[in-house]
Amino acid sequence: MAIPPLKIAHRIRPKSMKLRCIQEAPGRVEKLRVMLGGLIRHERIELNSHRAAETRDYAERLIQDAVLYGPHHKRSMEMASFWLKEKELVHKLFKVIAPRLENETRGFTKIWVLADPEKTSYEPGGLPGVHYKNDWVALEIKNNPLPPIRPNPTPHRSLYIPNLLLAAAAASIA
Amino acid sequence: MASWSLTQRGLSRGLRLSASMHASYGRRMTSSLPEHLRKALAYSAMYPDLLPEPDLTRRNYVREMLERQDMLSRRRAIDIPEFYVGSYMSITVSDQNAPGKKNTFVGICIYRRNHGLRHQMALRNIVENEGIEMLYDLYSPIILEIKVLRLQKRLDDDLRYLRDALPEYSTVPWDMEPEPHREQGSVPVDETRVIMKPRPWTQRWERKELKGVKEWGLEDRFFKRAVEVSKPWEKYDLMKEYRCMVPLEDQYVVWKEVEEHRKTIEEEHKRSRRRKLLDA
Amino acid sequence: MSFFTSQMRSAFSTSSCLLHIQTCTRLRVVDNSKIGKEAMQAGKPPKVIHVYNKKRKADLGDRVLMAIRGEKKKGVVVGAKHKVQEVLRPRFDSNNVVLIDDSGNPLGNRIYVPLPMSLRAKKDQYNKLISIATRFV
Repeated sequence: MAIPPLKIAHRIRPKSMKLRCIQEAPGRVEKLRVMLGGLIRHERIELNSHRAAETRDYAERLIQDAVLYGPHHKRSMEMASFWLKEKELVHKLFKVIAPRLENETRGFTKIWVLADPEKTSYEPGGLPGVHYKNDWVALEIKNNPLPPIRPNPTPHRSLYIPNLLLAAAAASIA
Repeated sequence: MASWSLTQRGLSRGLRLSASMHASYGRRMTSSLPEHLRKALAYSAMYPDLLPEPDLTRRNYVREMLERQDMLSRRRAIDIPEFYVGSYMSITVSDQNAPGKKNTFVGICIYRRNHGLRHQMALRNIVENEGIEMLYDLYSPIILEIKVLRLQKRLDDDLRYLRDALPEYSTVPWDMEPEPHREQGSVPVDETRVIMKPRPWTQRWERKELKGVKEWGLEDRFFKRAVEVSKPWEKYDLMKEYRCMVPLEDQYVVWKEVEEHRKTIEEEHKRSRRRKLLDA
Repeated sequence: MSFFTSQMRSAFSTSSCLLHIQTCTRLRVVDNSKIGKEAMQAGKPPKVIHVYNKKRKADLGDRVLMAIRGEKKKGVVVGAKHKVQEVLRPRFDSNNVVLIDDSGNPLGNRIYVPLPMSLRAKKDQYNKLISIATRFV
């Protein structure tokens, strides 16, 4: 078998997602399926960094197979049907996401580090279950229609004023 | 070669390819496999020893390059033919204690393991009603000759279960003559399915997914327990599969050198093999 | 093992069993000596009671002292089922032994299985044994 390399810095070994479910390996696979389903449906999910890193690897592999082989390839369809529990998400993967990301060269997903939500749940009426939200990140599929997480992207270094002036000075000397 | 030229710019930068090459690679893939992928798949079956270890923490570009040089130069010295687990082989080794300083063993290849210069294979045979297995380092300079008597594959990649099968399935005639096999085309698959001896066995073979066993001779409770301890989700584990393989672009570095080797050294070996068969 | 839960499995470590020929190992006699034949036919193969080396684990070519039909006899290990397979060392499907006397001469005059080629290096000790062997591997 031969698989093209993943374009992201993927995990060399699987790492604990710090799940409290009892079933060990099958529980981990089940949780990954839930997270992958959420990612494909909503195209951006918030979770802790361990789970995001694991989910990202599987998402990249799924989307890579969908882009390279398409829906008519037996194995890529079998994998998508296993990992995405709802069948409409399989359809979305092959018909919506794969064509959108066909020309992506540097991976299909992105992780943004978010601020941890305030731990206010001990107050009556506070957000429930907020104490597990540590190392909070957002995992999103690229080119999604949602508003960007970083609304004003930082300009490239060469457009900073000191660098512009230096470049102009260098050009005038040369 | 036209299909390797896309990787030329990338190879000069080591293992990382430029972004435009990734894009063209992506766009070119269709449901039918392109030629360079088909070749990579074929070569990774024919030369599993030439591929590096999939474990990323043990990869080292310089070490792999030096080992590959050593392996290809050894292949220039003696003919290391294409063989698979399940092929009947005869290996002659230089042995101080043997009468003619040479010792030959004939048997069926039951497993291959390790990567690079450390690649090993085991042969099994029943000699005078005693089952004997010999393990060889493929690139050991002690080996004088490796002959493939019958080139074939079996239904499984690991035939260690032959230890607990009836002896007729592990017997290879000692004086077997090498059978001519087609140099081009697919390798014949021997669909023999074995009958197991009664328990106790060396391993719980019913728990491994073996295709080459016809009669187990076991009660239902063994198969029920095998289902309980099985891990059916493992075959869907995309990252586990990815971590067991060397990525395609790393493989191209190896296959490019193998192509040159095949055009020159292997052609010579094939010609001399054919000559020996015709003379015999 | 079915009552072990995942928590209990991690409570202690175990090492894999090593298939060595040591005291209390039962061996298979592969020559035609009278006492050896009788023992194998009676279903009471010889049991090792002492191994003549520093490690007390017998390998191919090592001498052992066995209890066979109430008697003490010496033997040479000529076949071993190694758990860890080593390169160029044959792995036999059964642990075989040839009965010898104190001076190294075999008690029988025929050997029914192939012997390891490494035994030929010990020509000074086992000259007669090598001469009655029919096959080497």
